Amino acid sequence: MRPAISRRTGFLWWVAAIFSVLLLAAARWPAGAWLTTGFDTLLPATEQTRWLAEASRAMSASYSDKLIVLVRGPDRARAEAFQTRIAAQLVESGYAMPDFEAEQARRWAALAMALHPYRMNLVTAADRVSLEQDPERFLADYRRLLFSPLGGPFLNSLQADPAGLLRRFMQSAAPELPAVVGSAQEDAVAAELAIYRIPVERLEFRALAGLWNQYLELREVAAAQGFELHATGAPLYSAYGVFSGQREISTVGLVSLALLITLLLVVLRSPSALVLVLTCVASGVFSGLLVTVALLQQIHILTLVFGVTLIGIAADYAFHFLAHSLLPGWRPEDSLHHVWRSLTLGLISSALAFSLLILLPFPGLRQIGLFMAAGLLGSYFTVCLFFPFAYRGPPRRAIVPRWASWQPIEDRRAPGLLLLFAVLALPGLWLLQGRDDVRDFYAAPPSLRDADRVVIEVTQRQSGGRFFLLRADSAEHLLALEERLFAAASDLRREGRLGELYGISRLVPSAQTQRRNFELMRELLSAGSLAGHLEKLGLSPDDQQKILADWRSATGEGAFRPLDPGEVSGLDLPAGTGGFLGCADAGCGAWVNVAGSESLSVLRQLAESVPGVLVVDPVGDVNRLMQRNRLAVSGLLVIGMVMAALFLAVTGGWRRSLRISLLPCLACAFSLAVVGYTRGSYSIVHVLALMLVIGVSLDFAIFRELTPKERQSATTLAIGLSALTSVLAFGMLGLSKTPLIAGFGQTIATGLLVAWGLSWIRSGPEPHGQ
Amino acid sequence: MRPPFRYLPLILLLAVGACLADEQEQLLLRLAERLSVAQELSGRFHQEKYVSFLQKPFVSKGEFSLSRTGGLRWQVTEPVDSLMSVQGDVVTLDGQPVQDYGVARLMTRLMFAFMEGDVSGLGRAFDVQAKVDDEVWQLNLIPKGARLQAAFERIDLLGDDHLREVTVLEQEGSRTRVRFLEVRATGSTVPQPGVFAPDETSD
Repeated sequence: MRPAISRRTGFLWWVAAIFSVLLLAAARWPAGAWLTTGFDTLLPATEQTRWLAEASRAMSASYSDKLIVLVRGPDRARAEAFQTRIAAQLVESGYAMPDFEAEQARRWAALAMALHPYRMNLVTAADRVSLEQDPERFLADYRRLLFSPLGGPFLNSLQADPAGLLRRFMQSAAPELPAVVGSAQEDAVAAELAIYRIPVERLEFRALAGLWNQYLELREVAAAQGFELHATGAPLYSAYGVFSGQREISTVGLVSLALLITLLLVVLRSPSALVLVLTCVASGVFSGLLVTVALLQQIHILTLVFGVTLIGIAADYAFHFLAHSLLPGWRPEDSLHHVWRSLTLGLISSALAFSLLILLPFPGLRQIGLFMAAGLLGSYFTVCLFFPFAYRGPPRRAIVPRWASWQPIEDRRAPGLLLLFAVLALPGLWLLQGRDDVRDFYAAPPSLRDADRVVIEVTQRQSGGRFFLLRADSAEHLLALEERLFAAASDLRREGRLGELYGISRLVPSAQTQRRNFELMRELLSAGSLAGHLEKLGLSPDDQQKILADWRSATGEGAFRPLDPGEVSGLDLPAGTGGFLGCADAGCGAWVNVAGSESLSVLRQLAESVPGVLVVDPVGDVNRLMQRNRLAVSGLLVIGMVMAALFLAVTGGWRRSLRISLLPCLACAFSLAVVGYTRGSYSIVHVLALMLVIGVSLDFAIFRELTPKERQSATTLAIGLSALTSVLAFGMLGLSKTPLIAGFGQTIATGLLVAWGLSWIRSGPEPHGQ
Repeated sequence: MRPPFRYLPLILLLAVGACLADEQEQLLLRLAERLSVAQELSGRFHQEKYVSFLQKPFVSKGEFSLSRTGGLRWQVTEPVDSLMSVQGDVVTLDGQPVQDYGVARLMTRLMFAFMEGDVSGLGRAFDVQAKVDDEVWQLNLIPKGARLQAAFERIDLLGDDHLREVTVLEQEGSRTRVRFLEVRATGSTVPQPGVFAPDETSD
């Protein structure tokens, strides 16, 4: 069978296909950044409702641009000075907002102004209890604070806030990371902590690698001056991801290319063949990239790393084409004749398997599936349409190497050998257990892991990324619900099992609570407690009267007006405050930040005691989704294999289908078994790798099966070249420091090595050609 | 007899250092010469806080003590009784841990710097203007960092062999003046040899 188009027409079709892809890309190329680095963009959206989505976004925004830097050393003044230097350097290089603290101060001032009209309604729960129990004692304690050196800031707002209630209310609304912290251990080591906010434009791919370089440079300078510098935060992890991703892309890509070039020059002895292989690979990579970005509007750097691995697979089609050109009697006009059917069967089965990934609701998997399917299609069209036009044949001295003429084992030993492979695989498969933890994928160098530990140790704070989601039918019910949650949490907090919770009710109590506070303020005035307090402070009679008149006016009849969360959420709130998500037809939503490392069971226990509150555990949710997707991809793997087998059965009979299918099945089983022997557990990454093993080993089996005996040497050569380049390329990935990529590479390398070995064993009658 | 050039390298080194040191460092070094070093310091204080919108200042009095082992103890006796204690990074008021927001620790650091005669670190956090003569010295500290700038505009210090008076000018126009009275120093009171201090063994 041969394609029914001329070489020139084929070339024109190829050019048309290229233009189509370029047109698609031009029409749908995203206006913003298309290369993403945040790990969350690879993961599926776990939300079931609008409020969960909103809360997840708010939660993510609260830490996605923060960089935490801790400087430790024997001298506090020098540590502080060094932190000042870090700030200056980060600001100068654009990696920190120059006026973050000033901006925060402005936000606090604006918030204070907005809250001032409602000051009689705003009292912390602790202050309310103290005032209700013993107002005189509360005010006496406050006077002691005022006359201590700590009272300065309170004195400055004495006129508007004579009992310090509003100031304390605002201070309690946000988690306060200590500006200067120290450790009592280790000979009074001084520590200086600072939080920087990175401008959004510096969080983009191209800028992030620079942040990692700055971090390394600052660590060196710190060490030279006798300090320890520890930094952590989501941007730094992303920066490391970009840094290592760039390094690995260049390493893997360059090494793969170098291997390809060397192998082709040695075996094919033709520069034009080399150019063709590179064209095939390049068309695969660019088709995958353009189509994925055009259709999905973004691609993650890890998907691109996987895409680089296409270099090994896309080249297979070129290998088969070129290997057959080394056989005697080859002519350019018949160049596709001997490979077209096998190439097409191979493409359909592989593209089918990868296309199934697009159906999964997992952005990372969809990107990989689309990239691979589009990339393989691009390479296939290049080989089928462009190669016959461009390739004039090998140099005269180029022949099939002698080793390629060795015949596969196809006597009665074959079934025994296949059985041996299966038996060897069984214990490994028996040992396998599923493990789905997204943190296993993330590579962090020791310096970042240490930094995390030290920062948590010094600040006594750790965020597990968990939060509460609250929903109610009105804003008032929502605030009341949050107050019930905080009240229920107080017991757990007293027992030390729970840290502070921060939510919108810290800024806007429910109207009922505001009314209660308001009445308490009136009572403070009417009982004479406030007047006595001002007198004991030693204020002049005039000053006392001014303050009392203001208080009287603010608590007079008809003066009560509750603060609404909408009035506050319209402001630019200081970092760490807020939590109100708004109201819509479905009701109102809010999220509550958990500032501690509480166990999930404690949080669940708390949520269960307050109906309407839900614990959100993003990492746990993603892990559960990964488990579901691992099982789904495993199912797709089986379905894809069955579909390919059925397709082969329809086109060539069930015996042939069985013979072809045996190779990928055994290769997958053995590859998984090696994972079982070495790791004991497998994840979605290993299952994904098996899809690639199936795709490539199907090609091996199809070509082995469909190529006539007299042309088997060309197939042996092509399979050998394919296996060698693929195993080396994926072996390189296996050395990656990113566990996600390493697991992928190792599984594929093992699977393809086994597939290559199995391609030497034939269990059926000799191939009868196409 | 000592070799006449025994200390020449040191003298040369100091001379080079003197040329390189900027005026601010020189002033601080001269100030360091004037201070007496002590292990512990105690005395009375008199604090006046002037708030722009009030007619009368807030006045408080009491006693203080400062030592490496005991930290800072700031006992207000008039008009109310209260005890602020700063030990390392732990700040307590009447025995209860309190949120400091940096005020108490900054105060403690300044007092330690003058008690121990090590004021060289001031230049890193402040722009320093100094006037030092035989009897008294005066320092004006203007904060460099945004965090300190947000808290106050300037700190003026006055002293002789000890710190005698601190005035903090805040951004809102308020002003706090603390005078240290009857200061008693215990422990070593040997003057701190600065870089430019005459080397008694060199001649």
